Amino acid sequence: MPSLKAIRSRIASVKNTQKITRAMKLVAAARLRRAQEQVIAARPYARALGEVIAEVAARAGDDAHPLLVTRTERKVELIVMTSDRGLAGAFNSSVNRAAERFTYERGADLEHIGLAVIGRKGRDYLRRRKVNIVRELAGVTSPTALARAQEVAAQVIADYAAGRTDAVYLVYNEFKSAMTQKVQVERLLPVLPAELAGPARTGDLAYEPTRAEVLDALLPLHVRVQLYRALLESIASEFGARMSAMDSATNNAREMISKLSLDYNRARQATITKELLEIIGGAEALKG
Amino acid sequence: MAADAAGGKGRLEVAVLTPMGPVVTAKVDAVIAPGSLGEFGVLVGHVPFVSGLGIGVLVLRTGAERERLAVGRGFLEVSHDGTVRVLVEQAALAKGIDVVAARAEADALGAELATNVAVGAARAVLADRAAWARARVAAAAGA
Repeated sequence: MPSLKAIRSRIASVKNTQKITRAMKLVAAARLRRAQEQVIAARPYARALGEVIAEVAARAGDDAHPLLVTRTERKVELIVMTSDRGLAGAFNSSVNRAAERFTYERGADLEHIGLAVIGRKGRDYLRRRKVNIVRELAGVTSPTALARAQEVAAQVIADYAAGRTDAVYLVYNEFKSAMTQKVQVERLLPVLPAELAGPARTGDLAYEPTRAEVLDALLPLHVRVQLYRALLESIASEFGARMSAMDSATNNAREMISKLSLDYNRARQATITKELLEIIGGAEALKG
Repeated sequence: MAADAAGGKGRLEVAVLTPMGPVVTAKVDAVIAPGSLGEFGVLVGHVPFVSGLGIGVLVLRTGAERERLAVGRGFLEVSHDGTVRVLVEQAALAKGIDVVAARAEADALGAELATNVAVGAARAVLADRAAWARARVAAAAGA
């Protein structure tokens, strides 16, 4: 049985931890609300853009634009979206594991897999693995997401157009709700119009200025917007995951405190009983 | 585009969407947009159509009422079912624009453009920001 003092100090330390986890939970909840609004705001735009591209590209054919051409996949880039901070439950580890699985499964029939890692947690994890990191990016927050998406999109498009990559994939946490996130692996390049949901295609469209120029502006924009949306989804998921992780940590701390208090009271009662027995024993001995 | 929409044929459904969120969804008689080849109008029954949009002022006309928006680069699509989707980087309703601040920004950026010797991408970014400020002034001024 640990001493009374030891139990008391453990209770104090668990209480402190509980305070921290509760504060983290509240902060995550506040940020989650903002991030969630941003994701929901970005979705209609991203979806409408996808539909417009589906309409235009489906009539244009595969060779109308370099970003529509499907090549045999030899050199692949995988963009991994993680967070900068931990303590978010399985948020980072599930993305990291999905990225690792991707490199194992596809590694055999590919010449080269390059990883573009966003977020410190992914970088730290993947650096210790036998993988090839070609790009690193940290410090992505909701206000900087648009600029960062543009930056990454420009690099990725340049690599694809120059033939340095044959396909680009994306691994990120899709935001389902505050409680659930789902790891998604999606293809970013080449753009496959068939995979984009679109209405039935009949007749042709008129273009201004020309179809080629419209595609030339639409496709890079699409890549940018997909990256932007994925970044926002990932940010919202991070806060959601952190909120539920910190919620259960707070609950665990409460349980632990009640168990320790019980131990403490038992130990105290045991010392009292022991002292009483000693007094009684002493009195009995004097009687004799 | 002064032509009146054919009566009884219903109205155009317009949605102005940006990455930051939808800005307007409305049923209107006509849309006048700053196309990349110049301003054009869309009335009910327009052929399916995709056009690039430059930075400028978009007008939504309903009867005699005109709602004006400053819009950034993007696209306008008239789909087969006749709905109009405006997909732009950014958009601001005229009534939500701070004219004084926008004018000050337009002047400052205009002056910077005149003196700045930056070329290529940096200059394009600056020119876009100046155009966006001017578009907001124009949208608010006409309201």
